[in-house]
Amino acid sequence: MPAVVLTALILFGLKTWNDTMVPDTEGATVIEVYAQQFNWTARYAGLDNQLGSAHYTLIGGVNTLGIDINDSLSFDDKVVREIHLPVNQQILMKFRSQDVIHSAYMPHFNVQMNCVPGMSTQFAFTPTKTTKEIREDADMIERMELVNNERAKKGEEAVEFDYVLLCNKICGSAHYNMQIKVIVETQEEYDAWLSEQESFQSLVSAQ
Amino acid sequence: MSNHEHHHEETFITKYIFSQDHKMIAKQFLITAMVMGIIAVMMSIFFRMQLAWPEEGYPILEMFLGKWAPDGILDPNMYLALVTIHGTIMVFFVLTGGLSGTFFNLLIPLQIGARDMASGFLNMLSYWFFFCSSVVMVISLFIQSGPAAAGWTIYPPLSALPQAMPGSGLGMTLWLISMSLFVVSSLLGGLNYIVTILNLRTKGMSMTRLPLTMWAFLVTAILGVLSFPVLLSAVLLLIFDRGYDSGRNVDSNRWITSFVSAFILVFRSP
Repeated sequence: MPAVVLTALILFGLKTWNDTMVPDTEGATVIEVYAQQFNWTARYAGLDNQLGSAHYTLIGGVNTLGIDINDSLSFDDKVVREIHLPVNQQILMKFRSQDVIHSAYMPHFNVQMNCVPGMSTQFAFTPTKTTKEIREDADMIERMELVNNERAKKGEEAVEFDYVLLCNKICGSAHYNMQIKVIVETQEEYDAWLSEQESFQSLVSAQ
Repeated sequence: MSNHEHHHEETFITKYIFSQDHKMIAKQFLITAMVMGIIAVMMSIFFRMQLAWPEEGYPILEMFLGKWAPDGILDPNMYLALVTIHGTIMVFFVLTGGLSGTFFNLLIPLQIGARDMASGFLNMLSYWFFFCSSVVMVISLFIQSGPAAAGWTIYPPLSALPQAMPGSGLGMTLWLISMSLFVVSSLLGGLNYIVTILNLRTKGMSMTRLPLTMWAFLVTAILGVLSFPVLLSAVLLLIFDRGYDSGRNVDSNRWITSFVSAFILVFRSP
């Protein structure tokens, strides 16, 4: 009996594992999230929706992620310090780490993945509410009121809700503060924002 | 009974300190684990106070932690160190030393009808390795750069690179030394439990009549003996990587596969 239960659990777990690790991501927007003590950097795949190759030995100057300058796929990659996501569009997030193990945790999307130096990990998910929509959600309004009342008592100014990507694996002294803002927006807003970002090729040539 | 039965004259030292009697060793495990448990619970109270009211200063924190809690507010490194050592003590020293060490030693001979464990001497060694391991872990709390702070799972490279954070210095080395002593203790104990259950059952106590508790202890001990040597080798390699510049033998993948035994500890607890 225990063997049957365990077998069922393992098979079920294996299916979930495969669905998570090898998702069907045809047409998904590809974003790389790069971890280092104690910040996150994001790289967008650009128009070709394919990330250029990268290796830690190539890190230097403005090339903080070690992107291969000679790989044509990397020319239109965009390196940014804020994550923007189009709503209702599947996102394939890939992770690398420069130094120690970090863990990319987005509590509001119920996703988490370890970022392990020397290997690449990934997950796929689809955000369904824009930042603007979630801010207008009744529960969220109530929650933010509580937060802002507490802040007001201390003489601090009110804040608005933002999605966030946090480090969820102890990674050193400032682990508690390792986070990056995530903004979910409409496809049009997203396209407009992305087109304003400088491509990796122009960043390198300007150096 | 014969009047000629050989009778040992026990001294205080052989009866209470270097005892080979399973009941006394069980009590030794229990008391040591309780002391470690009290330390761990104090740590959890400290960091949870900080977590609940992050901006409050507590004089008690400064009293116990000194420079690590200026004005009674925990330094971020000490917060991580408290979480790390609390977890380590609860998993290894309380769940394993406190529960397995105590109840396996106390109950195995009683429930299988044996006079004592198969090897009283190995049993004594098992306790004293555990004791030394506890002492080294406690010493690591008092060093200048602070104890290990990489979380109780001690994933490299955070634990492999001494410069990665203050707790990855001497504190981490002491954590690893303590853990290697602990694993030796667990292996000696585990072998003893297995041999005792297999060989010293009383007449008529077949394996099928063995109480379920004993079956659970036996399986637990076998799991430990299978997995602990892997952890020991990883711990020793990590010590060499850190202290003897032997290269980077232990990467995160190797550590995680070796650390499976520690997870077994959590799940196997009686």
